[in-house]
Amino acid sequence: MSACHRMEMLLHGYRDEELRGWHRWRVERHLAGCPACVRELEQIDRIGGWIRETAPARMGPDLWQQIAARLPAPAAPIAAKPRSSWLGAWLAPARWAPVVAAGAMATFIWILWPGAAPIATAGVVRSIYSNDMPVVVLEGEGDTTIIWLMDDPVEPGEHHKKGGGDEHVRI
Amino acid sequence: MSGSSVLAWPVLLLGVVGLVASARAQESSPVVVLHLMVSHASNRPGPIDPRAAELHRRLKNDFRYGSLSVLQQQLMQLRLQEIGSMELPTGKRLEIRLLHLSEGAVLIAVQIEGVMSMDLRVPNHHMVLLGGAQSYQDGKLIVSLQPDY
Repeated sequence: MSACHRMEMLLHGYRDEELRGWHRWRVERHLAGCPACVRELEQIDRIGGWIRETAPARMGPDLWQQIAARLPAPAAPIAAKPRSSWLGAWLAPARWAPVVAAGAMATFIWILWPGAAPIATAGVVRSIYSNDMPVVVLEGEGDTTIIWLMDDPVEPGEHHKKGGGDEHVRI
Repeated sequence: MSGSSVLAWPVLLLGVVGLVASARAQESSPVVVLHLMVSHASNRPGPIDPRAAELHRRLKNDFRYGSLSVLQQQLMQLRLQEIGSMELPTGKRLEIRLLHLSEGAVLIAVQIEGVMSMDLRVPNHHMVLLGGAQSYQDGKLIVSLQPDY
Protein backbone atom coordinates (compact mmCIF):
# COMPACT_ATOMS: atom_id res chain seq x y z
CA MET A 1 0.00 0.00 0.00
CA SER A 2 1.36 3.44 -0.93
CA ALA A 3 2.10 6.13 1.63
CA CYS A 4 -0.59 8.33 0.07
CA HIS A 5 -3.19 5.59 0.42
CA ARG A 6 -2.30 5.17 4.09
CA MET A 7 -2.50 8.94 4.57
CA GLU A 8 -5.86 9.10 2.84
CA MET A 9 -7.36 7.08 5.67
CA LEU A 10 -5.81 9.33 8.29
CA LEU A 11 -6.73 12.64 6.66
CA HIS A 12 -10.32 12.63 7.92
CA GLY A 13 -9.13 12.10 11.46
CA TYR A 14 -6.46 14.75 11.00
CA ARG A 15 -9.02 17.19 9.66
CA ASP A 16 -11.31 16.49 12.63
CA GLU A 17 -8.34 16.98 14.97
CA GLU A 18 -8.69 13.46 16.27
CA LEU A 19 -5.07 12.49 15.68
CA ARG A 20 -2.49 12.95 18.36
CA GLY A 21 1.25 12.55 18.75
CA TRP A 22 2.93 10.22 16.32
CA HIS A 23 -0.01 9.89 13.92
CA ARG A 24 -0.46 13.66 13.68
CA TRP A 25 3.25 14.21 13.15
CA ARG A 26 3.32 11.56 10.42
CA VAL A 27 0.44 13.21 8.54
CA GLU A 28 1.97 16.68 8.82
CA ARG A 29 5.32 15.44 7.63
CA HIS A 30 3.69 13.70 4.67
CA LEU A 31 1.57 16.74 3.79
CA ALA A 32 4.70 18.89 3.72
CA GLY A 33 5.97 16.92 0.74
CA CYS A 34 2.86 15.66 -1.01
CA PRO A 35 0.75 18.10 -3.05
CA ALA A 36 -1.77 15.35 -3.89
CA CYS A 37 -2.62 14.75 -0.25
CA VAL A 38 -2.76 18.50 0.39
CA ARG A 39 -5.37 18.71 -2.39
CA GLU A 40 -7.25 15.78 -0.84
CA LEU A 41 -7.30 17.57 2.51
CA GLU A 42 -8.53 20.76 0.85
CA GLN A 43 -11.31 18.77 -0.78
CA ILE A 44 -12.34 17.34 2.60
CA ASP A 45 -12.39 20.91 3.95
CA ARG A 46 -14.52 22.08 1.01
CA ILE A 47 -17.08 19.35 1.61
CA GLY A 48 -17.28 20.33 5.28
CA GLY A 49 -17.75 23.97 4.28
CA TRP A 50 -20.43 23.05 1.81
CA ILE A 51 -22.34 21.18 4.49
CA ARG A 52 -22.13 24.18 6.81
CA GLU A 53 -23.35 26.53 4.06
CA THR A 54 -26.28 24.38 2.98
CA ALA A 55 -27.43 23.39 6.47
CA PRO A 56 -30.48 25.55 7.20
CA ALA A 57 -29.94 26.07 10.90
CA ARG A 58 -28.29 24.56 13.90
CA MET A 59 -30.52 21.84 15.23
CA GLY A 60 -31.53 21.79 18.82
CA PRO A 61 -32.72 18.97 21.00
CA ASP A 62 -36.35 19.86 20.21
CA LEU A 63 -35.92 19.07 16.52
CA TRP A 64 -38.07 15.98 16.70
CA GLN A 65 -40.92 17.84 18.43
CA GLN A 66 -40.81 20.43 15.64
CA ILE A 67 -40.96 17.76 12.96
CA ALA A 68 -43.70 15.83 14.74
CA ALA A 69 -45.79 18.99 15.15
CA ARG A 70 -45.76 19.56 11.39
CA LEU A 71 -46.76 16.03 10.45
CA PRO A 72 -50.41 15.58 9.46
CA ALA A 73 -52.60 13.95 12.05
CA PRO A 74 -53.76 10.43 11.19
CA ALA A 75 -57.25 10.28 9.63
CA ALA A 76 -58.47 7.83 12.24
CA PRO A 77 -57.06 6.29 15.36
CA ILE A 78 -55.01 3.25 14.59
CA ALA A 79 -57.02 0.21 15.49
CA ALA A 80 -55.50 -2.34 17.74
CA LYS A 81 -53.60 -4.80 15.63
CA PRO A 82 -52.22 -8.18 16.44
CA ARG A 83 -48.67 -7.96 17.60
CA SER A 84 -47.50 -10.05 14.68
CA SER A 85 -48.28 -7.30 12.15
CA TRP A 86 -46.30 -4.62 13.93
CA LEU A 87 -43.03 -5.17 12.19
CA GLY A 88 -44.84 -4.76 8.89
CA ALA A 89 -46.69 -1.66 10.05
CA TRP A 90 -43.49 -0.11 11.32
CA LEU A 91 -41.83 -0.72 8.03
CA ALA A 92 -44.67 0.46 5.75
CA PRO A 93 -42.78 3.00 3.68
CA ALA A 94 -45.69 5.29 2.83
CA ARG A 95 -46.63 5.80 6.43
CA TRP A 96 -43.10 6.60 7.41
CA ALA A 97 -41.87 8.34 4.28
CA PRO A 98 -42.02 11.89 5.73
CA VAL A 99 -40.46 10.79 8.98
CA VAL A 100 -37.77 8.85 7.20
CA ALA A 101 -36.95 11.75 4.92
CA ALA A 102 -36.74 14.17 7.84
CA GLY A 103 -34.80 11.68 9.93
CA ALA A 104 -32.37 10.90 7.15
CA MET A 105 -31.74 14.60 6.55
CA ALA A 106 -31.27 15.27 10.24
CA THR A 107 -28.95 12.29 10.59
CA PHE A 108 -26.94 13.37 7.56
CA ILE A 109 -26.47 16.84 8.97
CA TRP A 110 -25.77 15.59 12.48
CA ILE A 111 -23.11 13.26 11.15
CA LEU A 112 -21.34 15.67 8.86
CA TRP A 113 -21.71 18.91 10.73
CA PRO A 114 -18.48 19.43 12.66
CA GLY A 115 -20.09 21.71 15.22
CA ALA A 116 -23.00 19.44 16.04
CA ALA A 117 -23.50 18.26 19.58
CA PRO A 118 -21.84 14.90 20.08
CA ILE A 119 -24.19 11.95 20.02
CA ALA A 120 -23.26 8.31 19.87
CA THR A 121 -24.61 7.64 16.37
CA ALA A 122 -22.74 10.60 14.91
CA GLY A 123 -19.57 9.06 16.24
CA VAL A 124 -20.29 5.61 14.82
CA VAL A 125 -21.61 6.25 11.33
CA ARG A 126 -19.04 8.08 9.24
CA SER A 127 -20.62 7.59 5.85
CA ILE A 128 -23.33 5.49 4.23
CA TYR A 129 -24.00 4.71 0.60
CA SER A 130 -27.32 2.96 0.14
CA ASN A 131 -28.16 3.19 -3.57
CA ASP A 132 -30.50 6.13 -2.90
CA MET A 133 -32.60 4.11 -0.46
CA PRO A 134 -33.58 5.98 2.70
CA VAL A 135 -31.64 5.03 5.79
CA VAL A 136 -32.58 5.60 9.41
CA VAL A 137 -29.91 5.65 12.10
CA LEU A 138 -31.14 5.13 15.65
CA GLU A 139 -29.55 4.96 19.02
CA GLY A 140 -30.86 1.73 20.42
CA GLU A 141 -31.09 0.39 23.90
CA GLY A 142 -27.76 0.49 25.71
CA ASP A 143 -24.59 0.76 23.72
CA THR A 144 -26.18 0.16 20.35
CA THR A 145 -26.46 1.85 16.97
CA ILE A 146 -29.21 0.65 14.65
CA ILE A 147 -28.86 1.31 10.92
CA TRP A 148 -32.12 0.53 9.16
CA LEU A 149 -32.47 0.57 5.37
CA MET A 150 -36.06 1.23 4.33
CA ASP A 151 -37.86 -0.42 1.44
CA ASP A 152 -38.43 1.32 -1.88
CA PRO A 153 -39.51 4.93 -1.48
CA VAL A 154 -43.17 5.48 -2.29
CA GLU A 155 -44.38 8.17 -4.66
CA PRO A 156 -46.56 10.85 -3.06
CA GLY A 157 -50.20 9.75 -3.05
CA GLU A 158 -49.44 6.12 -3.69
CA HIS A 159 -50.35 5.20 -0.17
CA HIS A 160 -53.83 6.61 -0.60
CA LYS A 161 -54.36 5.17 -4.07
CA LYS A 162 -53.64 1.69 -2.88
CA GLY A 163 -56.00 2.08 0.00
CA GLY A 164 -53.29 2.51 2.56
CA GLY A 165 -52.32 -0.51 4.45
CA ASP A 166 -49.91 -3.26 4.81
CA GLU A 167 -49.99 -4.32 1.17
CA HIS A 168 -46.88 -2.18 0.68
CA VAL A 169 -44.94 -4.17 3.12
CA ARG A 170 -42.41 -6.47 1.60
CA ILE A 171 -41.24 -8.52 4.45
CA MET B 1 32.88 -14.51 -9.28
CA SER B 2 31.77 -11.70 -11.57
CA GLY B 3 31.18 -8.15 -10.31
CA SER B 4 27.45 -8.32 -10.93
CA SER B 5 26.96 -11.45 -8.82
CA VAL B 6 28.96 -9.87 -5.99
CA LEU B 7 26.48 -6.98 -6.02
CA ALA B 8 23.45 -9.23 -6.41
CA TRP B 9 23.90 -11.11 -3.12
CA PRO B 10 23.64 -8.10 -0.79
CA VAL B 11 20.63 -6.85 -2.73
CA LEU B 12 18.97 -10.25 -2.46
CA LEU B 13 19.78 -10.40 1.25
CA LEU B 14 18.30 -6.95 1.81
CA GLY B 15 15.19 -8.02 -0.07
CA VAL B 16 14.76 -11.10 2.12
CA VAL B 17 15.30 -9.04 5.29
CA GLY B 18 12.72 -6.54 4.05
CA LEU B 19 10.18 -9.25 3.37
CA VAL B 20 10.70 -10.81 6.80
CA ALA B 21 10.40 -7.40 8.49
CA SER B 22 7.24 -6.66 6.56
CA ALA B 23 5.74 -10.01 7.51
CA ARG B 24 6.67 -9.47 11.17
CA ALA B 25 5.14 -5.98 11.11
CA GLN B 26 1.93 -7.46 9.71
CA GLU B 27 1.94 -10.16 12.38
CA SER B 28 2.55 -7.63 15.14
CA SER B 29 -0.35 -5.39 14.10
CA PRO B 30 -3.17 -5.84 16.58
CA VAL B 31 -6.00 -8.22 15.87
CA VAL B 32 -9.58 -7.06 16.19
CA VAL B 33 -12.16 -9.71 16.86
CA LEU B 34 -15.57 -8.98 15.40
CA HIS B 35 -18.55 -10.88 16.74
CA LEU B 36 -20.96 -11.25 13.84
CA MET B 37 -24.45 -12.60 14.11
CA VAL B 38 -27.16 -12.83 11.48
CA SER B 39 -30.66 -13.01 12.90
CA HIS B 40 -34.10 -13.23 11.41
CA ALA B 41 -36.95 -11.10 12.78
CA SER B 42 -40.32 -12.29 11.67
CA ASN B 43 -43.95 -11.24 12.11
CA ARG B 44 -44.88 -14.84 12.70
CA PRO B 45 -45.37 -15.55 16.39
CA GLY B 46 -42.66 -17.77 17.77
CA PRO B 47 -39.86 -18.00 20.26
CA ILE B 48 -36.97 -15.65 20.88
CA ASP B 49 -33.80 -17.60 20.21
CA PRO B 50 -31.81 -17.71 23.47
CA ARG B 51 -28.68 -16.78 21.50
CA ALA B 52 -30.48 -13.60 20.43
CA ALA B 53 -31.51 -12.63 23.96
CA GLU B 54 -29.08 -9.73 24.05
CA LEU B 55 -30.17 -8.57 20.60
CA HIS B 56 -33.82 -8.80 21.67
CA ARG B 57 -33.07 -6.65 24.73
CA ARG B 58 -31.60 -3.96 22.49
CA LEU B 59 -34.33 -4.13 19.81
CA LYS B 60 -37.54 -4.64 21.68
CA ASN B 61 -38.17 -0.99 22.48
CA ASP B 62 -37.78 0.17 18.87
CA PHE B 63 -39.22 -2.74 16.90
CA ARG B 64 -41.96 -5.27 17.28
CA TYR B 65 -41.75 -8.73 15.85
CA GLY B 66 -43.24 -12.09 16.53
CA SER B 67 -40.11 -14.16 16.67
CA LEU B 68 -36.36 -13.78 16.52
CA SER B 69 -33.99 -16.52 15.52
CA VAL B 70 -30.25 -16.69 14.96
CA LEU B 71 -29.24 -17.99 11.54
CA GLN B 72 -25.48 -17.53 11.56
CA GLN B 73 -22.75 -16.66 14.02
CA GLN B 74 -19.13 -15.99 13.22
CA LEU B 75 -16.04 -14.69 14.95
CA MET B 76 -13.98 -12.71 12.47
CA GLN B 77 -10.38 -11.91 13.37
CA LEU B 78 -8.99 -9.08 11.31
CA ARG B 79 -5.72 -7.20 11.18
CA LEU B 80 -5.38 -3.75 9.68
CA GLN B 81 -6.40 -3.65 6.02
CA GLU B 82 -7.49 -7.25 6.12
CA ILE B 83 -10.86 -8.08 4.56
CA GLY B 84 -13.20 -10.59 6.08
CA SER B 85 -16.32 -11.84 4.43
CA MET B 86 -19.30 -14.04 5.03
CA GLU B 87 -22.22 -15.10 2.89
CA LEU B 88 -25.63 -14.06 4.14
CA PRO B 89 -28.63 -16.40 3.91
CA THR B 90 -29.88 -14.31 0.97
CA GLY B 91 -26.74 -15.20 -0.99
CA LYS B 92 -25.36 -11.68 -0.74
CA ARG B 93 -21.82 -11.29 0.53
CA LEU B 94 -20.99 -9.21 3.57
CA GLU B 95 -17.45 -7.80 3.52
CA ILE B 96 -15.68 -6.01 6.33
CA ARG B 97 -12.34 -4.26 6.10
CA LEU B 98 -10.43 -2.99 9.10
CA LEU B 99 -9.17 0.49 8.21
CA HIS B 100 -7.82 2.01 11.38
CA LEU B 101 -7.53 1.19 15.03
CA SER B 102 -7.20 3.75 17.77
CA GLU B 103 -7.54 3.53 21.52
CA GLY B 104 -11.15 4.63 21.42
CA ALA B 105 -12.58 2.93 18.39
CA VAL B 106 -12.02 0.87 15.31
CA LEU B 107 -12.70 2.28 11.84
CA ILE B 108 -14.21 -0.35 9.56
CA ALA B 109 -15.66 -0.38 6.06
CA VAL B 110 -18.73 -2.58 5.76
CA GLN B 111 -20.31 -3.61 2.51
CA ILE B 112 -23.33 -5.73 1.73
CA GLU B 113 -22.96 -6.69 -1.87
CA GLY B 114 -25.16 -4.57 -4.11
CA VAL B 115 -27.14 -3.16 -1.18
CA MET B 116 -25.16 -0.71 0.87
CA SER B 117 -21.70 0.25 2.00
CA MET B 118 -20.61 2.33 4.94
CA ASP B 119 -17.70 3.45 7.06
CA LEU B 120 -18.23 2.98 10.76
CA ARG B 121 -16.17 4.12 13.71
CA VAL B 122 -17.16 1.65 16.35
CA PRO B 123 -16.07 1.91 19.98
CA ASN B 124 -14.94 -1.29 21.61
CA HIS B 125 -17.87 -3.56 22.54
CA HIS B 126 -20.38 -1.16 20.92
CA MET B 127 -23.00 -3.10 18.98
CA VAL B 128 -24.00 -2.04 15.47
CA LEU B 129 -27.17 -3.51 13.99
CA LEU B 130 -27.78 -3.45 10.25
CA GLY B 131 -31.32 -4.24 9.29
CA GLY B 132 -34.04 -3.75 6.78
CA ALA B 133 -31.80 -4.17 3.79
CA GLN B 134 -32.36 -7.84 3.46
CA SER B 135 -35.85 -9.30 3.15
CA TYR B 136 -35.72 -12.97 3.93
CA GLN B 137 -38.62 -15.39 3.99
CA ASP B 138 -41.40 -13.63 5.94
CA GLY B 139 -39.19 -11.16 7.76
CA LYS B 140 -36.00 -9.19 7.82
CA LEU B 141 -32.40 -10.08 8.36
CA ILE B 142 -30.55 -8.23 11.08
CA VAL B 143 -26.78 -8.33 11.06
CA SER B 144 -25.13 -7.43 14.33
CA LEU B 145 -21.45 -6.71 14.70
CA GLN B 146 -19.49 -5.96 17.81
CA PRO B 147 -15.72 -5.40 17.99
CA ASP B 148 -13.61 -6.79 20.78
CA TYR B 149 -9.95 -5.88 21.05
